[in-house]
Amino acid sequence: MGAVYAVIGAALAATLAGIGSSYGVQAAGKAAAGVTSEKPELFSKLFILQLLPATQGIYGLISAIIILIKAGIIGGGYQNLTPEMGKIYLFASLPIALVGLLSGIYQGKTAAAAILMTSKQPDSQTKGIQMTAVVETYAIFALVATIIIVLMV
Amino acid sequence: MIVTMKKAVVAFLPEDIEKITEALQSTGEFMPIATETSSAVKTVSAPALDEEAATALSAYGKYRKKGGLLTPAPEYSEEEFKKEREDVKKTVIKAIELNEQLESADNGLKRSADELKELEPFLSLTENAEELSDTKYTLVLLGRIPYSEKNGENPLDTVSAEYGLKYEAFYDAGGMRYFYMPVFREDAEPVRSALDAAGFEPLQLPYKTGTAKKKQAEIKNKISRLEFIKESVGKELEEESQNAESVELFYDVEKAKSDRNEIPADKTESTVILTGWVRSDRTDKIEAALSDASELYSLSFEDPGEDEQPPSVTKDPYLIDQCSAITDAFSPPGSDDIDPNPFMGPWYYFLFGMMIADVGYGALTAILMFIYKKLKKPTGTSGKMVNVMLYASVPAIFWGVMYGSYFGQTWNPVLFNPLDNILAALALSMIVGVLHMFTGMGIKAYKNIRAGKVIAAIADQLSWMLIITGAGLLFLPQTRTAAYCIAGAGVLLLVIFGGYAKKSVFGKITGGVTSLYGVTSYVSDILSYLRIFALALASGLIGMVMNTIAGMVSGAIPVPVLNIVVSLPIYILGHGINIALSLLSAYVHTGRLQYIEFFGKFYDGGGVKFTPLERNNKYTRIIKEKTK
Repeated sequence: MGAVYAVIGAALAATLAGIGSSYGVQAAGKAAAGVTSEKPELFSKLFILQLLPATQGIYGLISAIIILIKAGIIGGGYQNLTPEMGKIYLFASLPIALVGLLSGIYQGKTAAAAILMTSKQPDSQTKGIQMTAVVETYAIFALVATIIIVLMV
Repeated sequence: MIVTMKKAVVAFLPEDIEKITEALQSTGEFMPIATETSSAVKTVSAPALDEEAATALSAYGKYRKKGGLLTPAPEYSEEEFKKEREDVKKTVIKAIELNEQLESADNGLKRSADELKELEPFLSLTENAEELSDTKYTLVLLGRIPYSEKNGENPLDTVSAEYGLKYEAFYDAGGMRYFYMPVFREDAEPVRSALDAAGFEPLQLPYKTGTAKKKQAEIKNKISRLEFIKESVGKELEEESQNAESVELFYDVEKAKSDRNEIPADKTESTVILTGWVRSDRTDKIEAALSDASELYSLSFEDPGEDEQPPSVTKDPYLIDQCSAITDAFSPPGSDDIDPNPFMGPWYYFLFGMMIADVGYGALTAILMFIYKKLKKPTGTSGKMVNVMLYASVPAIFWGVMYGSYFGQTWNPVLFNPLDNILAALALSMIVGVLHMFTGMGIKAYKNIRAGKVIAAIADQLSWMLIITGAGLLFLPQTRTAAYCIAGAGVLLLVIFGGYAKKSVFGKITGGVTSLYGVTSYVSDILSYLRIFALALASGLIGMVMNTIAGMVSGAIPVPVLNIVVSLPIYILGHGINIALSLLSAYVHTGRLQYIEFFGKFYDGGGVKFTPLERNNKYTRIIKEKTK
């Protein structure tokens, strides 16, 4: 029974954070494609900006895998997982799942704005990267929170 | 160290203008200043054709065979660069002409395609256009009308039955029926209004004579001719694109010319005066270039005036200088500020390495960057960034050994494995962060003391350094008493001196207490360093996951050689993506820590970048010959 909770947690982490990232990457990608049609030479600069919201999905995947390992679904032994431990893993997944979802979306919007800024002033790409990266801070904190809960319990 | 600048004033005869500006441009050491009276001087006799060359190159575009991504720009000597190129001008003009032909053929094709589409409803009309024209007694109502069967009735049939008129329907599309209906002129008005009430839209035949089929054949014929023209022009362009390399050289030459044309100068009838900033340690280069170019000139160097802000250039040892690209992306230092690079550079390498923290990834990064450098020979900012990543691979390997991380696998950690010892890893990140912040605060304290603001140094830096140190030592039981003393001393200093900037006595007292609220910003700064741990963990874990997946695939195949063949691409692809993502994250987040947590403590920036008049070659590189 505990394993069911753990799997729900792992699935939530990978799914919600993945949705956040895919939304963010598509929002930034649309802006980048529009600019590239006019200024193809900016592609490499814009591509870096488009890639920034991709990290939330990765954090979600990492969290999912750590949960699966700790719960014994990868490596074996999940039959012995108590329901209490399973619930802990489920709740542990929430920080990265929810923060990953929202920060991925918001970071994508910021990245799209930074892409438009870069299209007007190609030299300000670095500033755009920094502005966009600040949004990710909270996804990092959420990842730390999830991992601490999973590994310390 | 920030290099002091000199203001150079060059005066010379108008006829030497071309030679002198070219000499200054080739040194790349002279940054022209616009004065109140200066205007852009015409320095070249023939107009610069850089935009034309760019058009020619874009016309070659898809037709030319390009070298790979890693092909370095071709090299030319100074003499080759300066040679006049009449033949290339002709090549450029020819390419532009061909491009125009191609564009007009493209436009023609697009127009024809539109015409074909417009013709489509009328293709089944067998009558000639002449037969459908109005006569003395009859009108032909031609158009389309919304068409739907309601109880076996539709508006068109209703009208035709009511007035006893016949119609010919020839096309149906999008719920509309296309038809024509001959009527006598005297009956026309009521019929027309009845049709209009049913949503009739009159149409014009898109051709004047014959049938739509005939017109279609004509257009198709035209299309095949245009396509033939397009193909043969394309072939010609493909052949012409063999000249692309010489046109690229031509572009760079002409771009340099057009840049020279923008130089602001004061011009009288007999003299031209150029003013510009020069690095004080490289004035001899300007002198040498000018004396080579002309015999009649005057050159003097002045110190910058009180109200002038010279551009800033930093001069640092090689390894630290590579990081100046990152500082400049934030903001170059003001000319009277201290150079942040000697402090920021080592920290950048250190934090970057700590975020990668894997022996395998560090080594692979080093190899890839080394190969890229050798093949592509990047210069300028991108060259510096490549160098930063190349040298940051050393601390990355160092931290990999400390954490025992080898391509995501754990093996004999010297310090500890962050996955097994999370608290220690978190603490380490924060300790490194505190040291990083203390470096910045120390510099600010030095700047305050240098400016005679000792109290500011005590209140803003020393007190907080004591409080943070004390708070950190509280976690160790052995040092707890000392920790209280240190933190207490810090708080005391802060409360006493914190209100130093306030004018009134009351303000000085309350200011000290309220400045204790600053603790929130310090706490959030320190927590921000947790990203070091998170990123190292993320890259290590993804590597581990890739190993697990590839291992599972390999384990599922019992054939000895085949399992390696199948799992190897998973290893390569998985770790390849992980390295790319780790490098991007490390670059972004190290930058953030430097810009916000570190520079925020002491660095104002706000300088002007030194942008000398130089050849901004896009496609070529010039080899400076050895002195004869």
